[in-house]
Amino acid sequence: MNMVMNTDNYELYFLDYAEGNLSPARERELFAFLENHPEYREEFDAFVNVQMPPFTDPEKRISHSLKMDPAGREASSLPFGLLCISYLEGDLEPEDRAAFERHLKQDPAAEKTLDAFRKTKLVADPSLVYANREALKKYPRKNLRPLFSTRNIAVAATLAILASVSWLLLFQVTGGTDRPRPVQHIASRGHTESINIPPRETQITPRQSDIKITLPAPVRNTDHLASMPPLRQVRIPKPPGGEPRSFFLLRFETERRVYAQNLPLEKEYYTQSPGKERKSAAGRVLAKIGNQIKDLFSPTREILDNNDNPVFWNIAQTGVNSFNLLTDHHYEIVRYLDEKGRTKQVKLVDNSVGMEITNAE
Amino acid sequence: MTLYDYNTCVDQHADDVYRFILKNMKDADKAKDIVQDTFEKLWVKAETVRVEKSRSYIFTTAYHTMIDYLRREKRDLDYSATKEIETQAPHECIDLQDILEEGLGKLPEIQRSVLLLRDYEGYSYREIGEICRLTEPQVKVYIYRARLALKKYIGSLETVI
Repeated sequence: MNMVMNTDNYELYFLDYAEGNLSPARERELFAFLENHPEYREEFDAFVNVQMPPFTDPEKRISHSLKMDPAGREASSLPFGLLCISYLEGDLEPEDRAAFERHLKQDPAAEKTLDAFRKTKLVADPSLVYANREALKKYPRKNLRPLFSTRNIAVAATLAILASVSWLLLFQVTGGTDRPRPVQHIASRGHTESINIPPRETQITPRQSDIKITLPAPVRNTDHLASMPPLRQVRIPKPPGGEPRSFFLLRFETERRVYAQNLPLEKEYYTQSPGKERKSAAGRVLAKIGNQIKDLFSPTREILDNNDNPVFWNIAQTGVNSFNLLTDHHYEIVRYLDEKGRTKQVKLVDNSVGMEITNAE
Repeated sequence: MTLYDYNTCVDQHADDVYRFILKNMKDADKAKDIVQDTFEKLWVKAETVRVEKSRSYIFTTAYHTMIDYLRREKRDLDYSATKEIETQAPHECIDLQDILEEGLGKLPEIQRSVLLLRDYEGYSYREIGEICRLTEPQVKVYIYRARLALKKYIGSLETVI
């Protein structure tokens, strides 16, 4: 027994004392307790008012417990009650248990008392259940995105590009003669390349397939671009951590100010207005559009920067057409070449809002 | 403990712990709150609670959450006092289980808890001691006192009835 005697466990001390199991030190502790708590003296006497026999025999031990209840077992004296409870709880040693059961057969009153204790066994009510158990459960979080998020649009555009590329490759392999005619000639510094764009409402019918894809051409009004002054060099602040290798420049002019936004490969976008940098409503709109374009070109941006293959630009323009179809924009690709025919600069122009996006010159 | 383990714990123990708390508090809404708090705490500690210890953790947490609730409500929490429960017969008690329920409600809170853990859940003295932060002998004594009180209660009611 590793504990200190107190009002929570005094019965165990009383019982052990009555059965002669207390060590001298524990006995001293018990009597000190009784001195401090005289109110328990009467209860203690109920345990020990019978002379202690040596309890080596289980039969005698059980009998002694019974004898300690001289007023009758119906009154549930502490020792006999403890014996009954110990029996019901399965705490009795096998020989004590057997002796107790033998005694019960001979003593109907003891059996009745035991039965009274047996009735105190609580039985759980299975009809009591937690009503909303499912609400306690946890489930993996799902990334909910708005249906028309930038990412969704970009994915849709990418799918459209793939479909368009499939058509384009099929078209070229079969050597069709009704290729989209060049529709755009934009003069700028140096040389300007014509870009093949499917004409308005052109219906394309692959020869070896039943697939029909209709790509309405974007509304093109590029007259003002012809008179547009040469692109001026826009100062791009050096981002922290070094100069980006390549980037797009988003430039948006209003009557009062010019918004410029660089789209470095690894850096976050920011909006710059003359004299100060800050996020404006227009800047946020531009950032969103820039993100769309960036997403659109992300898989091919490196190629976009360096590729001089006209077929590639046809594919790119077809992708942009698909993007326009999905997002109701009117972007067009304008590519500036140097004297040797290499890509010098690329602009993505949306005539409807007077916006253009260029890569680095 | 994985997400699956946690949800399994909910399935296996939510009803049991709810019954345990409900029988102690006699208030379904508060019992639900405590069950909810308990499982939230389990979820927060899910990474550190082992599956085999989850049941004990749930009951321990629920028990102490309930104690906190009761303390906040300034209810009588005299754990050590041995109370003589009243034996006035309520008129609606005609079934033994009803009588037991009535008597159970009159027990001191600690006696009621250890008895419920013992009878409803079949916990050993040692496990009950871990949940209620008692020694095994203390658990044994509380169970003894509770059964003695219930026996008295039943006997007196049977006499009245």
